[in-house]
Order: sequence, then C-alpha cells, then structure tokens
Amino acid sequence: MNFKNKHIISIRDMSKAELDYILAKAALLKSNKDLQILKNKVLATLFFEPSTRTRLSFEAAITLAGGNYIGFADVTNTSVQKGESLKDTIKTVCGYCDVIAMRHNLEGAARAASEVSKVPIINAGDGANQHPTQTLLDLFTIKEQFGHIENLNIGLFGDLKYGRTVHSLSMALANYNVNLHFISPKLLQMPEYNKKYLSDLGIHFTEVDSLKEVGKKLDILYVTRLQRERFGDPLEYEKASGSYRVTLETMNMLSPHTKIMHPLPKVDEISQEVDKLPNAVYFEQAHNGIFVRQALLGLVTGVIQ
Amino acid sequence: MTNERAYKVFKIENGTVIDHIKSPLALKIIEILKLQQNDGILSIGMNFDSKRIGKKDIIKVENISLSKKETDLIALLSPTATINIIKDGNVIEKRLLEMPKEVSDILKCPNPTCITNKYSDCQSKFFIKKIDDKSAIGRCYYCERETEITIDLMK
Repeated sequence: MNFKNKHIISIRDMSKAELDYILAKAALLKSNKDLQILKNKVLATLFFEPSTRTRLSFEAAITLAGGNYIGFADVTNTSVQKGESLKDTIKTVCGYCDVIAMRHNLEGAARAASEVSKVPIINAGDGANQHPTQTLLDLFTIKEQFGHIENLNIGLFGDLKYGRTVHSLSMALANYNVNLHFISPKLLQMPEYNKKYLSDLGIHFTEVDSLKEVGKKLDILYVTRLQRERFGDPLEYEKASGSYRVTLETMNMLSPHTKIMHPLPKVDEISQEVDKLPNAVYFEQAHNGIFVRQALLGLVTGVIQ
Repeated sequence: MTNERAYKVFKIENGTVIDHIKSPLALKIIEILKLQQNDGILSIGMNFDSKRIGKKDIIKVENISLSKKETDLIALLSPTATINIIKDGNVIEKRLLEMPKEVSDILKCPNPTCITNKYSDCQSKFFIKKIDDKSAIGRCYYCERETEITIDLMK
C-alpha cells in the first residue's frame, strides 16, 4: 500500500484496509521504539489555532524518531496576522519541510491546504470537522486492548452532538462490525446525519440516555465532557452532568473488563479514583498518539512502505 | 375542463428551450447559467398553469445549445424541468435532467465557519446526492457538512 505524498485529511477518505495498514505500522513502531526512521525529515507544525496536546504529540513523534520540526503554536507574530491567506502560507512553508501537520479553526482548512501543498498535509484538526490522527489513536488503543475491533460493544458517552472525536470515531468504526451504544442526554444526541451514515452502512447502534441500560454489555466506554455552554438552562446542565460523570459508583454499572477511554483533556467528568483503576486506559491512549503519528509521518514521507 | 390556457412564447430556430421549470425559478436559472450574457433573444415566461407541477416557468434561449453539464445544474433547483435542443426549427434532442454528482462554485456553504466562506481563493464544491424526485442533499467537499439543497444556497 502506497501512502507516499498522500494527504491525511479525513477519516471519510480512508478504507478499512488503509486504516488497518496504518494501525499495523504504528504497532511495529511501538514495539521498536529506538528506530530513527524520520532522521533528516522536517515536520512543520502549523497551529493556526492553539492545541498544546496535539502539537506536543506531533513534535515528540518526529523528535523521538530522529527528525526535526519547525512551526508555530499560534498565529501571533506570523504573517497570518498580517492577512496572508492560508493557501499562501502553505505554498511558502511547503518549501521548508517534508510534511505539514496543521490545525485550524475553520472547517475544511486542511483540505484547502492540500490543494496547494507540494508536501503531504496531515490534518491535526479543522474546526468542528475532522481530527483523523485522534481517531487513529483511538482505533489503535481499542485494537491494542482487545486484539481486534470487530464485534466489540462500544459505548460513546456524553456530548455526542458537538463532540468532533465521537463523530469521526463512529465513522471509522463503521468499517468494523461493531455494536455502538450512544449514551447521552436527549439534548446532546448523535446528529441525525451521523446516524444515517451508520445505518446506511448497516452498522447496529442503540441510543439511550442512561448508562444503566447498556453498561454491563460494554467492552469500551468512550467518555466525552458535557460543556456547560451547550445547555440553555444552567439547572439542566447541573442535572445532566451528574449522570455523565464516571466515578467509582459508575464503575458498578459497567462490566469488570470495560475499558474507559477519553480523548483528553478531561476536567471533572472522570473522578481521580477512576484514574487508578486498570480499566482506565486514557493516558495510554494519549501516549499511543506518538506511534500513530510516527507511522503516518513515515508513511506519507515514504520512509515506511 | 382544463385550467391551462394557450400561450405563445417567441419561437426560436436554434437554441435551447427549458420547460417545466418550477415557478418562480426561471430568473435564478438564467442567473446561474449566465444566459443573460447571450446576444440572441432570451424569452422568459413565468407562472403558466401546469398539470404536472402546478405553476411553471419556461425559458427560450436563442442560438445557444446548452451542454448537458450546464442543463444538469438546473436539476439542483427544479428537477422537473425538461430540455429541448432546437436546430433549424426542429427539436433535435429531448433531454432529461440528471442530478450532477458534484458542483463547483454554484452553491454557498451554509456553514459560517467553512473555509470557503472566509477565503476568496477557496471556491465552494459540493457532492450531490439525490434523495427523491424533489430533493437532494449536498455535502461540502471542505467542511463535510450535509445540507438540503434549496434556492437559498445558490450563490
């Protein structure tokens, strides 16, 4: 499979075979951490919108594999502030590096960038649209925990309406024969277009507003945070957020083997006691981002075949 | 008894007749296809009674034989429209509309934070999916949002 010079923009563009290929390469890199595969490669991290975690992960990924990075963490003191267009920035920077990872507040920015870039673009988040490397590290973690993705019962929990990660993840999981359970307040249910996408592909899902109904079945509980500003009435938020917090008590509603995942950062939606349980895999999940990003950097620059 | 009245619109020897346009979309179609830039006669009839679609518009454009790619754009607004290509006073082609699979720079993305609404060097592009005879969904190539195609989306 040839990924050289391919842009990584959206999970929508990727076949199951491609997803599996990337996950397999990431697994190899995780078991051979000392490989300097990205030696002499330069990554540009262009963060038009700040995101400390994703940027650090990309920068660590290339550094640990022997490469270098250039870039900016926000647009202060860049030509963007002077009014330079996105396409002009990309046309310039692609002459300085072998690959670009970019985050932007506007949806479609990475796609637009890919049209003018001479080097591969990796989308590190475009507004509320896509964040494919997050989805890949989620898939990687699921596969690592269970050895497979097929046939798992996966619960997506919390804000399913506005959460970018759960939209992309459910889209990616549609490639595998999984059972999805959407657990959210009525106000924050998975959007219709997303559900239609899944049902068109024959993916089985259930929609409930309480963990009680499906908890014991779950292999994975993927938690996202309810945001106060999504609720018109603060009282409604207080009522809902209590039921969407994962505490030691919540764990009783789950099976002993249920793994808890979270895209991070988390605030108070998972209690600190839960962090210590073997069920909590979210920090491992974040660390897996390194290997997935190294695999992508290697594949699109052609150093990994 | 029919409520249809006889009507006459200037006959053309050569050109394109677009009939059964859902009223009042004729002017919008002229704008999208830039038919007003034509040197020949352009005749427009609006609000005719139609058994099929209630009220219909009709456009006759002289000396221009519109391509299939152009006429298929009409399907976005009025899938009921029919096309006749006229040469030397005879209908040489009766064409049915097909929903275009993708369109560039025709629709405006309704998502205010889509890149196409912020930078003039990013033209809009939509993938079109027909839902039924009357409606279609467009997915923005850039922001990936899906939306029902309506006249409000026309640039």
